[in-house]
Amino acid sequence: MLEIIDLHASVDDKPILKGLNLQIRPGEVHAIMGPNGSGKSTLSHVLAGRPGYDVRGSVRFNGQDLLDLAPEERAWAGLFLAFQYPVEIPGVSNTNFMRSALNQVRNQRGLSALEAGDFLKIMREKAALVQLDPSFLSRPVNLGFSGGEKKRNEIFQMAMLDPRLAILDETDSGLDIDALRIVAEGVQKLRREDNSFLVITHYQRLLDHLKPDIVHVLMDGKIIRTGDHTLALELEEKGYDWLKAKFV
Amino acid sequence: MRVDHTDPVPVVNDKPEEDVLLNKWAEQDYEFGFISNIEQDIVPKGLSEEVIRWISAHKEEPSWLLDWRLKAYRHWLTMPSPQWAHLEIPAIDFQNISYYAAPKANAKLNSLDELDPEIKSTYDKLGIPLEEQLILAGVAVDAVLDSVSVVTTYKEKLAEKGIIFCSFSEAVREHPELVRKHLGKVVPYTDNYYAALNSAVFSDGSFVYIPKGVRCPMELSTYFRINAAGTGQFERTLIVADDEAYVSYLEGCTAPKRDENQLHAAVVELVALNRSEIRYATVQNWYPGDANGIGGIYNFVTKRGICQGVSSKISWTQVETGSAITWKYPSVVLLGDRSTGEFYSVALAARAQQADTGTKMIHICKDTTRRIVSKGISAGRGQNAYRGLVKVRESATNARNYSQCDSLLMGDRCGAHTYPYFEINCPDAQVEHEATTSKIEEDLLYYCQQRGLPTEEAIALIVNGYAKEVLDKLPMEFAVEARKLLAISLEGSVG
Amino acid sequence: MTLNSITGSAQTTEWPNSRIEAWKYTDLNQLVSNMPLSNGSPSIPLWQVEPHDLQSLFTELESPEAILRELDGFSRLVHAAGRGGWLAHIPAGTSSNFPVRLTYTPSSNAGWSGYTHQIQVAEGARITLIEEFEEDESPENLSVKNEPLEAYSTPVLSMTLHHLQVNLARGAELKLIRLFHCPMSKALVHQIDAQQEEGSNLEVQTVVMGSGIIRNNIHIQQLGDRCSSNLLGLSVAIGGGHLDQYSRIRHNALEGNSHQHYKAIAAPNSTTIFNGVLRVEPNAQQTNAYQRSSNLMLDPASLSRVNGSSPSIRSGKVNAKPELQIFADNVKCSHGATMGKLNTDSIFYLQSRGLTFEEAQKILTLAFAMEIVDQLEDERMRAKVISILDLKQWQ
Repeated sequence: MLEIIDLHASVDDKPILKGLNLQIRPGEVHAIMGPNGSGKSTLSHVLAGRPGYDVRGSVRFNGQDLLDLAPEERAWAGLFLAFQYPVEIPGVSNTNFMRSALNQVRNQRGLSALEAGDFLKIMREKAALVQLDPSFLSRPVNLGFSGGEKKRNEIFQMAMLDPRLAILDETDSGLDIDALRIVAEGVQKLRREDNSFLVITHYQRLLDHLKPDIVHVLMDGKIIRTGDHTLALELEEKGYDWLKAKFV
Repeated sequence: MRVDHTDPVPVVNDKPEEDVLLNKWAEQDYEFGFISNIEQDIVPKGLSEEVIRWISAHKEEPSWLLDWRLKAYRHWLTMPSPQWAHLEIPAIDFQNISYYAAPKANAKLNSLDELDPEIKSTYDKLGIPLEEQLILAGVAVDAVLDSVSVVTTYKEKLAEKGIIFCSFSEAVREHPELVRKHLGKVVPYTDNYYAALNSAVFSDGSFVYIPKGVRCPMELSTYFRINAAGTGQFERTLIVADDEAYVSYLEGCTAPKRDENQLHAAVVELVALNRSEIRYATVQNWYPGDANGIGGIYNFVTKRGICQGVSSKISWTQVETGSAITWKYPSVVLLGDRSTGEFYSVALAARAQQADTGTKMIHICKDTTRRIVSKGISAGRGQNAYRGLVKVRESATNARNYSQCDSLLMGDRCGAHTYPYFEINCPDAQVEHEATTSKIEEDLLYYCQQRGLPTEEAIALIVNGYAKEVLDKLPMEFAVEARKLLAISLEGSVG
Repeated sequence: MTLNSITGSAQTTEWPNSRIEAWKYTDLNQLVSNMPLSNGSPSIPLWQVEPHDLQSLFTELESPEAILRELDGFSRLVHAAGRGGWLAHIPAGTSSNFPVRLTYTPSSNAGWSGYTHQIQVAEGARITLIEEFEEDESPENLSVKNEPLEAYSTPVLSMTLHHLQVNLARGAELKLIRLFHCPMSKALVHQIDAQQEEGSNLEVQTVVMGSGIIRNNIHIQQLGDRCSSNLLGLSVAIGGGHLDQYSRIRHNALEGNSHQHYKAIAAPNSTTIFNGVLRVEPNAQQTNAYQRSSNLMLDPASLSRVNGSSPSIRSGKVNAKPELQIFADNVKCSHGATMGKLNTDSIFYLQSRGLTFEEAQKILTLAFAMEIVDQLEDERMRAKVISILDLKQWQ
């Protein structure tokens, strides 16, 4: 599904990712943990194609060279990023936004545009999945949403676009316990044999719900340790310092 | 133009740099630039009392109207052309313009089928809804081709309610007392340079009268179209809503592509009597000239309404995407107690377009309210200026006025300018003006792209969102058309 | 005397008049054209510098011609009535915590006179200048004092014009804190033309008050990157006063900042004007500019309860015209203007605490002004402004 080899990324000549390697197979849930400033969010943005990074290395996504693609082409290829800080789009309703996006993605996948009725049906279904109040669908995208509502809206959009690989960038930050559970359950329901998740987080909480197959520790731009879900527990207990002392 | 908003814009698979895209939008070809070939009845170029007498005689006008035209002409001769707008206007040779062009009169039409096939096909290309289905949809159309009304539909149904909706010439013939009572009362010929010119040479236009207590059952719409090379078009529109009447009027324009500048100096007068309401919406898409500013329409329009009666209301909504130069300030004079004026505007200036538009409102009586929302979009080398005057007279106690003016800049060769004027002479007026200037945030674009929207479509979506507050004020079918128009004006993907 | 006869027929620049947009509301040409040129130099020095040991920084200007940068209509007018002026060079390394105070002598002669000044602040130098321009109540005027008149339509006996050129070198900082106070039948006109080099900081705080005519122009050009310009203004027009504050800031380099906040109070028969032009040139990316104009008009009806009703009392006038001219896309520019009256809830609140309607109104009007007064960066100036505000009969 995703193969990252020796990925380097810098901003204004300041290196952030320094030779990162990662492989994700279909059906897997990976978690990346790490202290502030280790490069977690940079990794998600480099994969999604945000402008402003100098990138070297190789990223292959289902056989395509991801780094060659425009952000929207990566989306068409099935990559989804749930933003840590979702932006607000004044005047554009969630419904209108999702219809434009979904029809675009369907078009690229050789599917016809949805009839209005079918679209609305799908939308209500997916909104229910993350317990998003239907009134949010007619409101402008993220405008005036609370932090938790924005995150839930991200997961709703993920459900709508049905990606192959979804990157959740600190989706748990700013969520209260109930919202966290709803988001996690939403993700659980979307798990299939043929799709994968990359979950970036600081905390164990979300991982308690999601039970990742593989946990990585990102520090100073590299993955310095990989293990199963018990690694996350160990980190929760000991913090990152013991790893720092050991590897850096 | 009238298009369904269904298919998404074709996908661009390469990855254009933003600059390239901006250039592309700025130079996009005008969608409706074609020339139809209709035999014209044209007066020789030039302006003189003789030409005015010729026009008046040709239209078989009464002598009071000829006298009025001549007074306007003589006044015009004494006026300097205005210099103060944020515009660079090439000198206009008023002697090199033909002041009257009418499609050659065939026999009288009994139905749409008898319409000149050439005119019909021009309308079809534009998608103007002269067809049955649109009549069924409740749209009555008074189509103006160049200067004379060619066909008017659905008049009988309106006539049942006592509503008069006809060409200006016809109104002069059939309802001279109404025309004479109101003509030039809102916009006197002394008002400004182009209003004086229009008063002297106006060719035709629309006349609407809604009698007491009548709610006009359908949207009234007129399509203006400039179609003869070198022919200035001087429309004159007069709408009168009597006590407790209501009318919604739509005006939309496209023009064929030409290489020389065409002057358009229209005058629109609205009169709202006691507790009546007039809504006037415009979607303007005249040929804006090429990327170097060659060709294109000069649109110097005077639009003004008077809320003459108590609790009356006038609302202007405009979507301006066309014309090389736009000079236009739809205004409301709040003369009646508790009257309300509104102005909602989206103005787009791309390529080398120049727009100086806004509104004037004059609060004269008490408890008057005014609301202004202006959304400017500048791209390419376009220059977009909002100019708005709020004048509160000493007599206008308890006046309220709120304006919000936003500007969106796309690219670093365009400009956005805001010139609000407060002239307040009453201590308890409450007046507020806010303006912002911004560009499309990269993060916003990236977010939309991440959801699979190509850059062009993402921009169209964001721009439509930005303009939503204004677009929502348009009648449904116009809103669809306006959204499409904004997207087309910015994308260059439809040719 | 006609103006053109002063400089002869070679005159090409137009005198400031209402056909020029910037002078739309104050036609200098009209005000000056029937007034004689004041003759003779003032008998006493025009200005006094405090502290005295800094007197040497300010030298008499020998020939204004030598320093005139560009001859617009205004600078020509000043020049035509030239009565000298001062020149100050603030050397690099100056960093005074004590401000320099300049007090200008009221004009003693009828007619109009002009002064040209220049201050150059060298690289990294910092200085604060406090200026007071106050005109005397003229004896001729005392007889008509009880009749409310509009200064603009009343004959003006004397008009004093000042033109100050400011040059800020790299990293220089200049603060100007100024009071203009002018009674009926007098006029004060001041214009700053400032140029800022990289990283320099200019602050101009201006209070204009009175029943005469005052026009205060501030023109700033940011030529170097990362400049900052902050303008603060308060106008209190009473007894027919006509107070016009005009600013024009031109951003012509990267990452410039400008901030403007002007407040105006117009009593009956009196006029306040704010016109601010903010221009961002195509190369001035990442400009951050903000402009705000807040206006309050006092109600003649409620004032007549204080002073007894008089049919000749009419509403004041507030004109506000904040302008944005933006030619660069990556900028944050906004402006706002408001015009309002005193909040009736607030008046009621104060009344419910035992104050009279009149007291409540006065307190709230002062509070409106205090938002600006509190920001004046000089204790003595603050005290002075408050004392004048306190004495004012709000008429």
